[in-house]
Amino acid sequence: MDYSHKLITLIIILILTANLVVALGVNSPYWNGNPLKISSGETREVSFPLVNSINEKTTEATVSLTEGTEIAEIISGEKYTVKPGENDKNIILRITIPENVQLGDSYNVKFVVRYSPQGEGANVKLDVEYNVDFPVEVVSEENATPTMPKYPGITGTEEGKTKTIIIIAMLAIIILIIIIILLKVRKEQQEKIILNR
Amino acid sequence: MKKSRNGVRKKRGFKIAIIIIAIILLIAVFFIFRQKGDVNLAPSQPTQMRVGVGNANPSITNLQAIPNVNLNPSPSTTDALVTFTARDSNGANDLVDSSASAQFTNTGEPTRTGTCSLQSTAGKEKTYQCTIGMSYFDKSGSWTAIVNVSDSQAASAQSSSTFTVNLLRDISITPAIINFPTVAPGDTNVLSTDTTTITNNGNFEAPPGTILATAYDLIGETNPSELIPTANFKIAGSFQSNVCGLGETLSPSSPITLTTSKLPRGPSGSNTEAITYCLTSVPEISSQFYSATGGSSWIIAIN
Repeated sequence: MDYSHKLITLIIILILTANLVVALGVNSPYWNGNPLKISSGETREVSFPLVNSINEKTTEATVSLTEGTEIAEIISGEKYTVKPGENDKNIILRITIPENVQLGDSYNVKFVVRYSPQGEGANVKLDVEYNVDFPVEVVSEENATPTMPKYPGITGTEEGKTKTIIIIAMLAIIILIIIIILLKVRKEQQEKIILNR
Repeated sequence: MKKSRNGVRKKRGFKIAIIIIAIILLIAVFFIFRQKGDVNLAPSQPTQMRVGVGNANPSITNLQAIPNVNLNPSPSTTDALVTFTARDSNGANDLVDSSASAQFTNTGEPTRTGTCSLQSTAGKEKTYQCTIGMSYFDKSGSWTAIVNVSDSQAASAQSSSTFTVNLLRDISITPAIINFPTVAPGDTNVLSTDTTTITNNGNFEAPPGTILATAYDLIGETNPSELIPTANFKIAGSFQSNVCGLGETLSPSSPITLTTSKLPRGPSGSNTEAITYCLTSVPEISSQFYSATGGSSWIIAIN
């Protein structure tokens, strides 16, 4: 077999092998050791983004809640399709803590993400599952996990805010003066008309 | 009389307007020239006085909160953005843009450094945005972001904050199938022709006891009433070379823990685990293909 044939064979093997590799991942903001701290009576939506590598094929996943159904529900659906390089398909859980729950109480929430890598013509086919679980601790409002701003980049500096307030105040004063002057001029014109009559 | 009254009124209104405008101008002048105590006004006439002004150290006036970082799986890196504002009383131009830097640290982890670029200049302040690439295997949890900038006299300012890297569970299995050679009834301890390689493409760690396998019977493809029971298979990780003897016996529909298997996080080559299978005995069944696919696919699970 000459070099070119070997190269073609190698490429075919690589392509066939690549077809068998599919991976899907899930990012978790909470895990054992990093609990969600939430106060009683509070409701929060927590996102778990699904991610697919740039080298992978479009992958389908199914999600089911297996623990913590008394406080959690999946509100983003059971089935997800994630394209190569995509990282913004979110599994969204709504966590609701009843009003009467004691401080210090805790729950465990668990859901299963399952996907099926490609592969056919075998005795046994393999699927992959992630058991995603995290503790939920009931705490006071001040000790609850802070929610991050969605667009942290647009918060200005304190100095910038002060300048903005000053400019707005100055504009308001100027507008007020213009209105007063206009009213005065109008009044004088009316007085002139009355005098002329 | 009326005319003279109107004249008085006009004069009074004019005076009030002048006073209001003067107050506004005074307020404006006060705020425009008030810049954190810096002296901005120079003497209007040349004098004999000579004042030596020394270098003022820069300071970091704002380091924006960094949202939780969701990592991209292998082989990608993830760009995390850090934005900070620095101030120099000697003037924004005294800050050296090329000295602006940012890094992420976590004990026991490689330090991640990035590149910064000037985003905007306002008064004596400059705002920089830094991009730091994180690896798919960077540890989950709290990281420290440290930002730095120096001025023309090499005086520097530093500030830090913390942020969280989320936990990424991401594995690939290669191949996603298991084949066995042709067997005959009564054969024992037949090894699978495929070894499953599990690759950790994320930053989670699977210590021993956290990799599970769920299996189902292999059903006859021609005559589904015949099968090879799940219990006739054993499974083992790379730390158990004798899968047929000491592997874990699989159980139908129930997850079995691979007690000795583990899956570390890390760069390519250090983040894999190999799984082998053994058909311990072939029952007295007819000659046909037996398989477990579709809804009966076996499952490799990560806790």
